[in-house]
Amino acid sequence: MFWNLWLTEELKLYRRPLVWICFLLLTGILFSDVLGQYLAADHTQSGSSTSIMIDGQAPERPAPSASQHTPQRSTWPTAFVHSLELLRQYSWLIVIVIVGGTTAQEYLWRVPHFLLSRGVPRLTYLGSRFAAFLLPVLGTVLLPLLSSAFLSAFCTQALLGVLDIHSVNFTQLVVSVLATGYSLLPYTSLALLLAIVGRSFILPIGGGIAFVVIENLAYESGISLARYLPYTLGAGVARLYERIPATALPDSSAAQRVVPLEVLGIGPSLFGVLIWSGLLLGLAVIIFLKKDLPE
Amino acid sequence: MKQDVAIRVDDLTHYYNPVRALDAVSIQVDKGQVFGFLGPNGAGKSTAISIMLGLQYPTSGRVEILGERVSPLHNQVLCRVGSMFGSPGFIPHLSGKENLQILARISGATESHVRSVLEQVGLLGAAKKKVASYSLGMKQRLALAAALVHHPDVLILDEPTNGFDPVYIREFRELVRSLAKSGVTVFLSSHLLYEVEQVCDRVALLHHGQVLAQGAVSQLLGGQPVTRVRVCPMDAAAETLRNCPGVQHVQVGGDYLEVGGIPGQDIVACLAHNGIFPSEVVRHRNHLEETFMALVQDSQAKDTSL
Repeated sequence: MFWNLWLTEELKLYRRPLVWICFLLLTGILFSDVLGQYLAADHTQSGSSTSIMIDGQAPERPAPSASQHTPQRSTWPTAFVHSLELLRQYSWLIVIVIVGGTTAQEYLWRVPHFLLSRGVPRLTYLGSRFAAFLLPVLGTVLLPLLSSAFLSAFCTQALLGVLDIHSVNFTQLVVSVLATGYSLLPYTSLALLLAIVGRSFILPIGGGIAFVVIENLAYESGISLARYLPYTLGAGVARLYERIPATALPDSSAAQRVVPLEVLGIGPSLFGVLIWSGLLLGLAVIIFLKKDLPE
Repeated sequence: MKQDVAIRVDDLTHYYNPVRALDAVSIQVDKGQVFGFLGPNGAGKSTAISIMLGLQYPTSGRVEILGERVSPLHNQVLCRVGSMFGSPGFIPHLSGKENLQILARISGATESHVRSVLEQVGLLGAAKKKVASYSLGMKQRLALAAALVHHPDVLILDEPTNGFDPVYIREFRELVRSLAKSGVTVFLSSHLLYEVEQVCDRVALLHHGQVLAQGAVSQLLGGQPVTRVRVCPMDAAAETLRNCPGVQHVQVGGDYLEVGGIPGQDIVACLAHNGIFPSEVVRHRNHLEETFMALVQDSQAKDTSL
């Protein structure tokens, strides 16, 4: 029954325009970022190509060095790192909208009532629903990233004159994509929990946003406990992105950035994400098992 | 004996604090029976059904279906139950057929049975339309199809004819009867007493969360029909009829006499023999509505006296 329910949940999810709109929105954010960087770079290069003719001959233009092409963010391999960082920063909201929105709406449609009154055990229902969200959660990372990868490939070719596929460690890229999706699991559990408690759009979406705002405030204030909150743990998991370029790049802003709080290492961050996801999901299960679902 | 019981509800009590929605409700429905669960809006029918379908925890009491206990944590037996309860929980952006296919997949029913139930409820032509475009009546038919798609042993139907047109109500009654003949137990909740009277073998009358009466329909209706006689002078006619052989009772009710025990032609003959000629003789059978109203009045009188 679990797999049949899981299939059903997947079917329901992918037939909803909301899910595709959310994917498109994230893709749009990545596209506009990469494109913006590309246009800025293109403009810089065009500007710098205006040269003074000496003795009727244009001076030889030096080839742009890796550090010189301003917008590494639009070219491989750094484009992947930057896109994943953007996704990490925005995907939580999309996850909350997809999970919280669809769960709350199904409450309004009385879909849980419908299935449970036909002998579907509550635990199986909730478990299959959570499992069904795993693919869309991964999709919020994978689909926009794949789309922007094509655009950044074009940008790399246009700006650097060559697309060096070997500049990307694809194994680390896959690991980073999976890890980014994984770091969104606490928000999946949170949205599910709030939708079950509130049975409306307001609580999962409003509550989810409020939760992340508080996390960020705690982080920015340098409260040491903030390093154990899901958003900061996600930043710890994001250290994996540094391994995506096949060769270490001279960078970068990270070294100069003043951080209010040092994030945990990759291992503890992954474990922390697991604990948060488990706790929130466990709470959702307990509440759902005890909840009355009157007409 | 237990094997013959399809639904057993024991001492079911439920509070929506501080309101008592159900008060020690006990019901027993035998296999293959069509059982009517009657009561006005707010009587507690939906609360009882919600508990029977494992959607709510009762404050106290117990529900068993096909010998297995039902609660929100023990609802496996409900895969043998088909139900129509409240507004049907369909996914509006999927078609009627897709909604049924989801249920069929969960309950192991076949694709061919999806098609046959759609045909049975007259929705085959609209099967590929999105449920969002369905009328209330079509949604109700789809809900009926959803209740039947997995060959249930027990059907629990809450106000099933809401939204049906008169023609389909008639077809629905036929369907219920044929299901009962094939051994399916039907638990039919309604506030439409006449509707229930048409199809049910046994009924329970619920009012303010209490079962006022339950039993066979014929038993609750008071057995034999009576004859209503409009006649003048009424007192003399009543006296005459009381002396007629076979007459069991004569009661004055408004502008007519209610006579039980002998058929209409004997009443006319008896009166005519004594020089009294009635203007109207009508065979009358009590309806559940009258029985129900009498029981409610009794219950209110008891409450007042306490």
